[in-house]
Amino acid sequence: MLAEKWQLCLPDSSGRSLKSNMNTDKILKIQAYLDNELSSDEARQIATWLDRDPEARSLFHELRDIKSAIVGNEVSLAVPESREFYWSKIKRSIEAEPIEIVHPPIFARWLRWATPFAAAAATIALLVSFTAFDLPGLRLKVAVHEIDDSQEEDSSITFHSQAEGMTVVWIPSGH
Amino acid sequence: MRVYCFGSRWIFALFSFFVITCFPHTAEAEGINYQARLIWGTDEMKPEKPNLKELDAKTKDKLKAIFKWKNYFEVDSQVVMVGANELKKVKMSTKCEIEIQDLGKNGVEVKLFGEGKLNKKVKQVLPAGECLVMAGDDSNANAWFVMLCPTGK
Repeated sequence: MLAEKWQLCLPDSSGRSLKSNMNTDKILKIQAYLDNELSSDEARQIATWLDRDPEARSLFHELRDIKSAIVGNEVSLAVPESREFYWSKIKRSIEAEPIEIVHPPIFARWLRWATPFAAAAATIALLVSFTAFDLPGLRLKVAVHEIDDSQEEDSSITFHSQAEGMTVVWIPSGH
Repeated sequence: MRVYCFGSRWIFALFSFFVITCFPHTAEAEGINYQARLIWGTDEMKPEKPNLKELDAKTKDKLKAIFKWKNYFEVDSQVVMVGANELKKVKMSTKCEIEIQDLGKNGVEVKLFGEGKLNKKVKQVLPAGECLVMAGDDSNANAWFVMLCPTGK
């Protein structure tokens, strides 16, 4: 973090940006070296490099000074409770929060169920429009009758009563 | 989880769709039940014949709304199932017989025989609730009625 800050903000003593001569990886290596985060082999390599390269050494000193300044002047904030008690309070407050179950609006729930059925109904309606004549319940649309007229001198009378739901074929006596 | 629930609704809807669309064809293939009745109409009181029964009030009212006779008695009643394109003969009395043939989407063809002779042939689409009545007058100002009504599948 310090390295990034330094890389962005600090010019060297000559006033030119160190960023131009040192890539981020190298800067981070120096920062890691300062923080004792490198393996012994890496630490040795960085130490050798710092001995050879004045620019790197300058950066190392800058970072070390910043670190010591921060550590030495960091304000210590103490929680007026023990660590365990402090975290237990946080834990209790999390557990005590009511679990809010968000129900979608009734219309939205109804719509989620109705949509598939509406699609199925629309499909059925489409099919029925093509196959109405094949569905027994829809025969009313083609409820026509046909009287056989092959017999000569047929004196029968046919009529349909819509109110009574009857088709009557009246055959006079003697027929 | 949400995707699963949404998918299950669609599966259920599709299942319902197939049940609804396939069931009528299956039922149609099984045939249609018809009630065939021979009815006697008269202005007189009930004759002393053991085979005559009182006609149900609903049918009696329907006939009285159309015909002039005051009393109607049931001589015979049979329920016959006619399969797809099937022909069924129904003997209503010693003299009266009918043939019912299923014509699929064209309805049904009914032939009326009197003493073995073809009197009338009618092709009729009979939706549920509709009836076909073949009738004629008889001696003593009485009448006979052959009533054919689909009763379901």
